[in-house]
Amino acid sequence: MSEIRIENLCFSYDSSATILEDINLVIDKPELVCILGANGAGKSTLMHCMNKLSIPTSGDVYVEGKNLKEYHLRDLAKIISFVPHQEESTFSMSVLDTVLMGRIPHSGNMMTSDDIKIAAENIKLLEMQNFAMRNFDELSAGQHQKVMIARSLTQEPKIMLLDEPTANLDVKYQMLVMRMLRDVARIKNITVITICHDLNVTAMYADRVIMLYNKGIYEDGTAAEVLTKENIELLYGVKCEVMEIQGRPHIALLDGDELDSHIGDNYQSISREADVSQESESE
Amino acid sequence: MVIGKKKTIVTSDSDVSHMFTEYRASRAKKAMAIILMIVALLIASIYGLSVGSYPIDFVEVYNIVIDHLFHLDDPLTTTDERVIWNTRMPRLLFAIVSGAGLAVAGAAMQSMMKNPLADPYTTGISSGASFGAVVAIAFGISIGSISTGTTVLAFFFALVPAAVILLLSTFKKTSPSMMILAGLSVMYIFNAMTQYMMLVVDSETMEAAYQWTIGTLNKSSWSTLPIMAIVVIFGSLAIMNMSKYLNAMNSGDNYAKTVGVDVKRIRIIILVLVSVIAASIVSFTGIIGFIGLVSPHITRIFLGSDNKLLIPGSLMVGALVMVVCDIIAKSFTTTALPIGIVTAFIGGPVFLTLIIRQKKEVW
Repeated sequence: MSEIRIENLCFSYDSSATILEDINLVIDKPELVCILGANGAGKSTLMHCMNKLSIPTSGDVYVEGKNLKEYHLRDLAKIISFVPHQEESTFSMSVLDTVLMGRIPHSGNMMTSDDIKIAAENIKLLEMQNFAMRNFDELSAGQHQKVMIARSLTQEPKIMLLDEPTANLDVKYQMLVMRMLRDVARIKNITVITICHDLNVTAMYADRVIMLYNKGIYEDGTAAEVLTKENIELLYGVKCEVMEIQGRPHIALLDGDELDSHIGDNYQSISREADVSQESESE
Repeated sequence: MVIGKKKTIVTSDSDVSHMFTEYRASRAKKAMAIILMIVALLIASIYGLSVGSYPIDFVEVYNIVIDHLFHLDDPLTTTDERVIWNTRMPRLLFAIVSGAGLAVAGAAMQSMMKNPLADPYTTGISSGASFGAVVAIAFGISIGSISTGTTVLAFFFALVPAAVILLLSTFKKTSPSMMILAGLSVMYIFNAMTQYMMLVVDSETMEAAYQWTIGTLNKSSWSTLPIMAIVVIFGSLAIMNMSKYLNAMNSGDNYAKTVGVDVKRIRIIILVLVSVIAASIVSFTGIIGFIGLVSPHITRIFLGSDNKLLIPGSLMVGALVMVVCDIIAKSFTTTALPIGIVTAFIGGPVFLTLIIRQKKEVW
């Protein structure tokens, strides 16, 4: 069973900057789990602690019942795959070559016919078959995300971690990617854990939502349980209204004075001038 | 696949098999390009053997080479045979081995550093080698002979920058920028010491030291070839064996770790391999620039950036470019020009052309 269990996890860069404190969490179902939180809440750090990219200051992470410290990177890579925030390659390869990198933990030095077929199947799954031989840097941001997800699936993981896979995407692609992730979790029977910033897209597709606030887990449950007016206002410090559409919460963000405390005096005076001129124009 | 409400996979086998066939065809095409490079290298090599102050016909060269390859024990009876086997063949093999080694080291450095401007000398190898050679020449350090002393000291000091980086890596993250900056620091120190020594030695020693720093194949010999060849062959094979890790590292350290690559370990192994290959070449030939920088970029045009093809492809291109440069070096003057001058003279404009032709803004 693909299970991640986190016990009493703390993480800090130095003694004065604690990012995460006493995190306890079990993720053990093949579903789409979204991690939410304001900037700097420790979402990426928590994710990095799940696959050894960051080492917790204290506490333990268990993957399939075994402490992460006991895993070799290659063995861990056969269980957990990772989709970074954005691709950092300097020298671009073809889409198929890029996706084939997902076979590195499984293959020897040469890719076998099976490796190529697995990569091709995942490219097809993400509907990128017409771009298979194109260079990665010739694609759009949305297509980049699809290729990175296909590469991650090619790793044949039991758990997929994605760091903001919908960043830089337009609304349609955000929905497409999230729906794809939810379906991939169900079809392939894997746990998909993703960091997300868009509350409505999260509400629409997430099976489980984990909310980080004040260095810890503030709320953990279904979208309807977690995405409440009070939680969102506390977490992000913005006014909102939450309504139910298609059986899921829908969040309408409202402009308000509470944003003033987060922006500088110069910008506030410009903002007030803009309001005054708009009022006089409408009169 | 239909994603969403139906949640059923409608995989089209024809799409998958089409991608499979297309990929195999593309790889076959690239393999063919490498074979063509080998053919071009063979032709250039035979032609290169015919060029020199003592002209020998191209067909005659071919006959002598084939004849002697099948009768290695036969004595060299004619002048043509002696010129080809005792003088030109070791020089040609030196060109092939050093060109191949520098290009492989350059390709590995560019992929490992994620930097298109990296080359085998990026970590300060050439400045270390120069200092070693100048010390040997200035103090007349002899190990059997002055020339061996120069080679040994150049090799030893060429490895110093790598040793400094290895030392730093024990308590500092081995990022590409750390390696480049540490290499630069060591380079400045060595350059300062070399310049000081050049100021205080007599003019004859200064000239000898200066001549050493300009790469040349004039010192090629059968006796020293095996040392360099063994290092380059085994070093290149080891680097090729790590090509899939270099591919992953091209996507960033974090991604590489998540596919099981021990980034720090691989980076150190590559650094050591590149340093040993470059040091073994530089200590015998002096500093030959541009081959390690330009050859991988030329190879990318034909074979792309997958290190599994890029590294063997760069090996062939590096060897070919070096042989062609040596032909040019031998063609214009009665005594061959130092090849370091030719590679720099040709490499500069070639690199500029590549920059202009390049669509991407990366380099």
